[in-house]
Amino acid sequence: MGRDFSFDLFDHEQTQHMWGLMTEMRTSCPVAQPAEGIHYTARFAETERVFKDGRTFSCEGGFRAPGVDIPPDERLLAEIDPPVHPKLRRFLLRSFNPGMALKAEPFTRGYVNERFDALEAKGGGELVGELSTPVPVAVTGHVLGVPHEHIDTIGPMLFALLHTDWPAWGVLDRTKPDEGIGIAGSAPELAAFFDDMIARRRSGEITTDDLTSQMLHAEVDGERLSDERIRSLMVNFLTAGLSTTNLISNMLHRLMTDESLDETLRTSPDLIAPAIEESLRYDPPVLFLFRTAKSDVELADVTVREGERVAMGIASANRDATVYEDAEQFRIRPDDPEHLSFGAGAHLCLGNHMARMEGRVVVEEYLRRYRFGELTLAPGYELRLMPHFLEYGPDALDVVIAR
Amino acid sequence: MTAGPDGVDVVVDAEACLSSQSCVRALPTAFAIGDDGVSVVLPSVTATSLDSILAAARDCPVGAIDVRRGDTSILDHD
Repeated sequence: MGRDFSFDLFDHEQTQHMWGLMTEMRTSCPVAQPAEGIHYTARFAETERVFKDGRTFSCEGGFRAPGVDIPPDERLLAEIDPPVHPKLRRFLLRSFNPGMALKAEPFTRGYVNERFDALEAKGGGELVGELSTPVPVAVTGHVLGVPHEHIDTIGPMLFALLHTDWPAWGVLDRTKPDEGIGIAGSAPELAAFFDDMIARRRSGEITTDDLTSQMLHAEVDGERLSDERIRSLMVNFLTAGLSTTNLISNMLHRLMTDESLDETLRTSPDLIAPAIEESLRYDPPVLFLFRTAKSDVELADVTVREGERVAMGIASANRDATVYEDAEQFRIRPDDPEHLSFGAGAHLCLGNHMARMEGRVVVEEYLRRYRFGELTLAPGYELRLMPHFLEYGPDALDVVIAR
Repeated sequence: MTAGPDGVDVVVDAEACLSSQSCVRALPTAFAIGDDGVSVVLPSVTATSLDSILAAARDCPVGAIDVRRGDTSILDHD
């Protein structure tokens, strides 16, 4: 193996622009070692395997730098292994399922139209900040019982928290990455906001059946969830929902710039859902995720040692030519295997039904409200991506609405 | 419990299912995700090969799928 496949997984200038490198890796180095102690799976098969093999690969540690620890009750769902994870997930499935996504659809449609109305009233605006970010916050907030009027306040705070730099979550000082501080330390205002929601429900001031209340009364494995756990899960759902921001932005950018796609979806609305799947495949909102090997394991002729990290290359796996014909082309492909953008296995994105519904509703309402060219990218607009190593979506979508 | 091919029954343990959707990904003609998020066996499972059903059952990350002949499981978990 003569070629050097090292790259910086934490530099968005590299991770968002390595499609060519990915193609090379898939054929000549399916499990690369971009840095000491880190492996990267480039093909679909190994990526799917690591996602699904929870016995060999642990979620603990998540995105945190080695050595960084946070209180167990502040861990994200994606950082929790069995035996706790299946119990929590089973309880949460009551709120994150196709039926609940369908139930949230009228609210979503109403909210999306409110946002388009607001943009239209001023002849345009910036879609990422004014539509793609608030929609998932509002919909997840709706499920959690966040008062509608606070969506615009907490949205930017959640966005800022999600976009803190590596080693990201719960770290006090980048120069001392072992000093974890949790949500209360990294986002005190947000923590106070959710603590207040919890307290009002605990005291009986608010009696509802929202997910926050359900979590307060839930018994998981015979034990009540702590307030820290509930708060962390609330933040977890809302920040995870912000991946949908990229889906919405990617889809709208494509619709505004691809007239034939626009026409196809107007003529055949039943292709909207498969078009969203193709957007998820081709423009993955999350480029890769991590696992840690629990024991030495062979992965495509490479030995991954216990304790080493594996970056599951979602973006590369989704373009594996052995799985997808014309993998480098965006084309609606209802019969092809599902992409890995929601992951696979026991940690498959809990919000996948919600995300798909939100994406579909935004596209449906956009097509219903505007003819092609009526809502367009502002003159001189240049596409820049979200400056984050894990994410793939426009940083801004400046638009004008001409009617 | 749903009648499958070759006289077997296919069963999803709703209490164990974690909605990983692995079975649906592998065999969309035999499994689907119900409104409550739990995997359900489709009637068209009868038209699916027993080998592929056994493979999907073994692939379930929480072992929520069983394939039985009468009262006996014919699934050999590794």
